Amino acid sequence: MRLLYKLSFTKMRKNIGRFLSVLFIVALGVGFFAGLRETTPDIETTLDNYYDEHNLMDFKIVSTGGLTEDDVTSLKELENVEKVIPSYSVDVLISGEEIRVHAIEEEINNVALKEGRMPEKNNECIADSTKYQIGDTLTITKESIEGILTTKEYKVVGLADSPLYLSRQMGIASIGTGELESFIYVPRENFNYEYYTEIYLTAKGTQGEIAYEDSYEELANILLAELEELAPIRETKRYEEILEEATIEIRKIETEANEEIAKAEEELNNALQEINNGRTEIENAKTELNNTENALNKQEKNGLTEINNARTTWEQNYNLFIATLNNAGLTIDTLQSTLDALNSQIANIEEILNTLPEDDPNYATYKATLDSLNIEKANLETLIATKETLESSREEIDTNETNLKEQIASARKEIASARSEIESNENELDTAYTEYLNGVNALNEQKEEVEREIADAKKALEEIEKPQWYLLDRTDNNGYSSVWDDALKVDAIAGIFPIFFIIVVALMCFNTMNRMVEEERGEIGILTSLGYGNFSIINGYLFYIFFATVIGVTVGLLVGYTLIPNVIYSIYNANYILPKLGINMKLLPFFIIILITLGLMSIIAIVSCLKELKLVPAEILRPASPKKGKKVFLEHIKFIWKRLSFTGKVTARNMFRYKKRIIMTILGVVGSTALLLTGFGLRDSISGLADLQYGKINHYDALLVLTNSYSETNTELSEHLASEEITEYMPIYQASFTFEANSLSHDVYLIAISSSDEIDEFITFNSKVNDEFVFPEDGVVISEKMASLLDVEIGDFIKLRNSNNELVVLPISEIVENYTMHYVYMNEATYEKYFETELEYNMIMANLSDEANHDDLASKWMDAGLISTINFTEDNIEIFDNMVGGLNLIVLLIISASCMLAFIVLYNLTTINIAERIREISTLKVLGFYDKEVSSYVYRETLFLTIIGIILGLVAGIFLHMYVINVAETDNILFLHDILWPSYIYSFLIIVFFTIIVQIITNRRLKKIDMVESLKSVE
Amino acid sequence: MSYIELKNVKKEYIMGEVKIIAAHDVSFEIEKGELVVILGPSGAGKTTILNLLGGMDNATSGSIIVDGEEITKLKRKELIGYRRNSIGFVFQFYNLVQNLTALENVELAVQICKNPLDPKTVLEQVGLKDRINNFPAQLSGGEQQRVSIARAIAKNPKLLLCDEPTGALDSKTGIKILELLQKSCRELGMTTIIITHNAIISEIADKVIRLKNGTIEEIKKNRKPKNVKELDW
Repeated sequence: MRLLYKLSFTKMRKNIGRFLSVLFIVALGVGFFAGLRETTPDIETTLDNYYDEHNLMDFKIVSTGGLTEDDVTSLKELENVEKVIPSYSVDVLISGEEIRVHAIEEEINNVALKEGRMPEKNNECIADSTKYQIGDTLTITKESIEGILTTKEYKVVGLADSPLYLSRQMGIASIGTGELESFIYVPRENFNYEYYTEIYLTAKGTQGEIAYEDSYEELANILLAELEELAPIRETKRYEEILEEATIEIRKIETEANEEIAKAEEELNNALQEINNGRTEIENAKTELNNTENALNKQEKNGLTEINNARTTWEQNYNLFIATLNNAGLTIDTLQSTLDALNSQIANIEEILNTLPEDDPNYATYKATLDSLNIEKANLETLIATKETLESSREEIDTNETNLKEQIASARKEIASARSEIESNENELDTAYTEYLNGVNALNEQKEEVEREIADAKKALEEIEKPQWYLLDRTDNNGYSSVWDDALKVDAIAGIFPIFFIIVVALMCFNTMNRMVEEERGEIGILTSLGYGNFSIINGYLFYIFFATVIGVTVGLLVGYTLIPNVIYSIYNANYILPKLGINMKLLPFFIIILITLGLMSIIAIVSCLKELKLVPAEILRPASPKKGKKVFLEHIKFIWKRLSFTGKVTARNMFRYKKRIIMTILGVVGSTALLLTGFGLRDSISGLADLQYGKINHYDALLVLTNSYSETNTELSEHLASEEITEYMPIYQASFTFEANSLSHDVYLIAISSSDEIDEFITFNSKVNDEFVFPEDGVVISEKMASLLDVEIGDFIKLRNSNNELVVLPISEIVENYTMHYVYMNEATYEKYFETELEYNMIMANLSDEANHDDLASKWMDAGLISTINFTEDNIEIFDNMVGGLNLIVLLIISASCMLAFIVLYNLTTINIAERIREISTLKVLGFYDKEVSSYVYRETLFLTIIGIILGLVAGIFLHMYVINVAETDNILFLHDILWPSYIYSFLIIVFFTIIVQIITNRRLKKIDMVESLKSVE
Repeated sequence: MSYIELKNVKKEYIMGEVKIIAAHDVSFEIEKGELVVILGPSGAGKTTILNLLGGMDNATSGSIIVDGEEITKLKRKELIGYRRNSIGFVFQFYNLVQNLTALENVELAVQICKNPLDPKTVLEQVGLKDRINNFPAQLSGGEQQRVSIARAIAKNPKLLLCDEPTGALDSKTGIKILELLQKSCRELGMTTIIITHNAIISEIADKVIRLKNGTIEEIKKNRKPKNVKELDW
C-alpha cells in the first residue's frame, strides 16, 4: 500500500503540470465559490456588530403632537421594551446646507468616533467625518423648530460616523431644499424645548440577534405589536392634553381680552365725562363773558352820555362866556392882551399917581381912572379865570373820554381773548370727542375681533387633529435596508458564478482524471494482474486527488475568503459609510467545503478508475481500442464538405470525434468569454453613465441655490445674472421628497420649471413612451427608473411625501430617460394646482460661458449673499465616477477570474488533447510533417472550437450581462444596458490571446514527442 | 557507390547513468530496387537501424548515405524533409489515423510530398478499391496494413521501411501483405527494407542482414529469392 502512495507522489512530481492544473482548478472554483458565498454573511456580521456596538435603536417614535414624559413612562411599562430613550433632533441650516442636529445620548445610536474626542462643553459638537474637519466652527442660521437650540455656534471637536446614517444620501430635511446634507451631534443640554422630538426604543433580546435575520424581525415585531397597541392610547391622551391646554389658553385669552375691553370702556366713559364737563364750563364762561360785555357796553354808553352831557354843559357855559366877552367887546384871544394892556395902563397910572401927589387934580382923576381900571382889571381877571376854568373842564372832559375809551377797549380785548380761549377749548373738546368716538369704534372693533378670535380658536380647537405617532423602525435609517438589499444582490450574483465555476471545475477534473487513468491503463492492468484489489488501486488515485484537493481548497479558501468579500465591500463604500469589513474564517464551512470538494473529487476519481477496473486484467493489459472514426453529419452536406480543404475535413472529423473534449472546450470558452464580456459590459454600463446623465440629459452647467426666493425686482440678482459668465439661466424650484416602492423609501427631486420652452437649454428630455417629448401642460414628468420601480405608466398617479410626511398625489404625463437619481418635473401651473401654494423659485439653473472660472463665480455669488451653495455639473460627473469607481474592482475581479478560467480550461484540454493523440502525432512526424504542420494539425480544431466558443460566449455574455445588470442595479441608478463594441473585441482578443499562449506553451511538449512512440503498441 | 550506404554506424542511448549501445559498427550497402530483410531477435538493434535509416533518430557516429545524401549530417528540419519525401513507413500497428477514411489516410501523407502517386490508384493497386471510403475501424487488420502500405507507397519514396509489417497479423493475412510488398518492390522498383524477427520472411529478400546485439552478424545475398507463395509457414 505504501508503495502505491509513493507512486502517487511520483506521478505528481513527474507530471507537475497536471497536478498543478488540478490544484489550481480546485483553488479557483472553491475560492470563487467560497469568497462570493461568504461575502454576504461577512457583510451581515460586520453590519450587525456595528449596530450592536453602537446601540442602534430598534424603533423610533415621532409624533405630530410632540412627545412627553408621560409617553416615556408608559413606553417604559411595555413588556418587551428594553430601553426607552427620549431625545431631540432638529434640522438646521449651516452655511446654507441642511444639517440634522442630534442630541448626544449615552445609550442609544452612539456615534463611531473616528477622530478627536466627545464634546465636553455645550458649544462643542461631533460632526460627520465625511464632511467636516476638527476645529471647524458651525453656525446655525435657521432651525426648523425656531429657538429649540440654545447654542447656535458649535466647534467641531470630534469626527464620527453614525449608525443612523449608512447611506451617503442621508434623506430628507424639513428645512431648506429638503435634501439632508449631513449631521452633527451636540450635547443634549443645548436643546430647550417643551416636548421631546423623538423617543428611541430597543426591544428586549434584539441585541443578541443578527440584524436582518428573521429572528431579529420576530423579536422586533413583538414590540412593534405592543407599540401599535399603545400608540392610539397615547395619541388620545396627548390629544386630550392638547385640547385641555388649548381650552385653558382660550379661556385665558378671553378673560384677558374682556378685562382689557372693560378697562378701555371705563377710560372712554371718563373721557366723555370730562368732555361734557368742559363743555359746561365753556358755556358758563361764555355767559359770563357776555355779561361782562354787556356791562361794558352799558358802561361805555353811560360814560359817553355823561361826557356828552358835560360837554353840552360846558359848551353852554362857553357860549355864555363868549357872549359875555362879546358883550364886553372882547374875544377869548384878546383877553390876555387886554389884560396886559390894562395892567400896563394901571401900572402907568400908578406910576403917575406915585409921582403925583395925592392932591393933584389929576390925581383924583387919575385915582378915579385907576379905580375904574382896577375894577375893569378885576373883571378881566375874573373872565380869564372863567376862561381857564372852562378850558380845564374841557380838558377834563376830553381826558375822561379818552380814559373811558381806553378802558373799554382794553376790556374789549380781554373779552376777545377770553372768547378765543373758549373757542380753542371748544375745539379741543371737539377733538377729544372725535377721539372718544374713535375710541368707541375701536373698542367695538376690538370686541368683535376678540369675539372672532375666540370663535376661531374654539373652531380651531374643534379642528385640532389627533396627534399621530409614527412608529419608525431601523428601515427609517437611510441605507439600513438598501445596504442589505445590495448585499443580497451580491448573493444572487454569487449564486450563478460559483455554480458555473463548480461545473467547469468538476468537468475539468473529471477529464483530467479520466485521462490520467487511461494513460496509466497499463499500470493499472499490471497492478490488477499482480493481485491488487480495486480498492487499493483506487486508493492510489484518491490519494493523488486528495492531495491536490486539500492544497487547492486551502489556497482557494484563503485567497477567496479574504480577497473577494473585501473587493465587493469596497464597492459599497461608494454609496455607504460603513465600518471596516470583518472577515470571518469560519472553520466549519471551511471543512465542509473541503469535505464536499473531496467527496466530489473522490467520486470523479472512483468513476474514472472503475471505468477501467470493471474490465478483466487481461483486457486492461491490452491497449484500449482507439476511438473509432465515422462520418460526421457535415459530410452529408455535400456542398460544404466538398469545399473544405483536406485539413479542414480532418479538423471537422476530429472535432466530432472527441465529443466530450469538444463540449468541454466550448463550455469552458463560452463561460470565460461570457464572463469577460459581462465584465467589460459592466464597465460600459457604468462608465458611460455620468457622461450621459450630466452631459446629455442634465447638461446645464451650474445650479445656484438662492438664499432668498427668486425675484425679478432684485436688482443685485439681476445684475449678477446679467454678467457675461452666465450665458443662459432659468429660475426653478427644487425640493426633495420621498416615494415608496417595494416597501422601501426612495428620495426624489421635485423640480418645477419656469419655462417649458427654454428648458431644452438645460435639460434634454427624451420620452421613453412617446416618439417626441412635449413638456406637459398638466401633470408631471417622471424619470424612468422611478416609473419602473413603481410600475406605473402615463395616466397613473405617483404619491410623494415631504419630510413632514405630508402627501401629494400627482398625475403622470410623461416618462423620460434618466440614469441616476429620481426626478419629478412639472411646470409652474401644475405645481400651484396640486400643492395649492404659490410657487417660489429657490434655485437657478445656469449655463456658463467657456471662460467662466467656477471658483471665482462661486465666491462672487456667495460674497453677495445671493446663494447658499452652487453646484457645478462638472463636479457631479467626478463625484459620480468616484461613486461607481468601486465597481471597476468587481469588473477587474470578473475579468481576471475569467482569464484564469480560460487559461486553465484551455491548458488542461490542450494537454489532454495532445496526450490522447500522441500516437497520431508521432505518426504524422514519421510521415514527415514539419513542426508547424503538426501544430496546426493539432491546434486547428482547438482554435476553431475556441472561436465557436467565443461566439457562443459573446451571445451568452449578453444575457449574463443583462442578468447581472438587473441584479446589480441599485434603486437610484439605471445602468446602461448596451455593451459597446470594443468590449466584444476585447473579450474576443483576450480569449484568442490565451488560446495562443496555451498553444505556445504546449507546443514545446508537442515538439518533444518522440517518433519512436509510433512504433510502440498502443498502451 | 551503392544506393544506400551505412558506414560504421554507432548509436548510443544514455539512460540516466547507464550507457546503452544499441548499434555498433554497423556497415552495409543496399542497391536500388532491392528487397532487404533485416533479421534479428528482440533487442538486436533492428529498430535502431530502422530509426536511423528513416531519419527519426541521429546516429552517434558513422555515416548513412541515401541516394548520395548523407542523412547523418542533416539538421532537424532537413531530416523532416527527408522523411517527407524520401521515406515510406509501414508500421507494425498500422498507425492509421482512426478518424480518416482509407483514402484520407493516404491523402494525409500524399498532400505534403513533392511527387506523389495518385492515392486512389495506389489503393486500387493494394486491392482496396471498394474500401477507400471506409474508416480504419471498419477494416480488418490486413486491410488496415494495406492502407498503411498504400500510404507509404503513395508518397513515391526512395525507400520503403517496414517495421514488422506482419507482426500483428495472422499468417494468412501476413502472407498477403508480404506479397504486396514484394510486388510493389518488383513492379515499382521501390527499394524496400523489411524488419522482422521472422527468419522465414528473409527467404523472399534479395539481401538478408542478420543482426545480433547491435552488430551485424551476417549479410547474405539470396541468389534466388523465393516468392511469398513458396514460403513455408
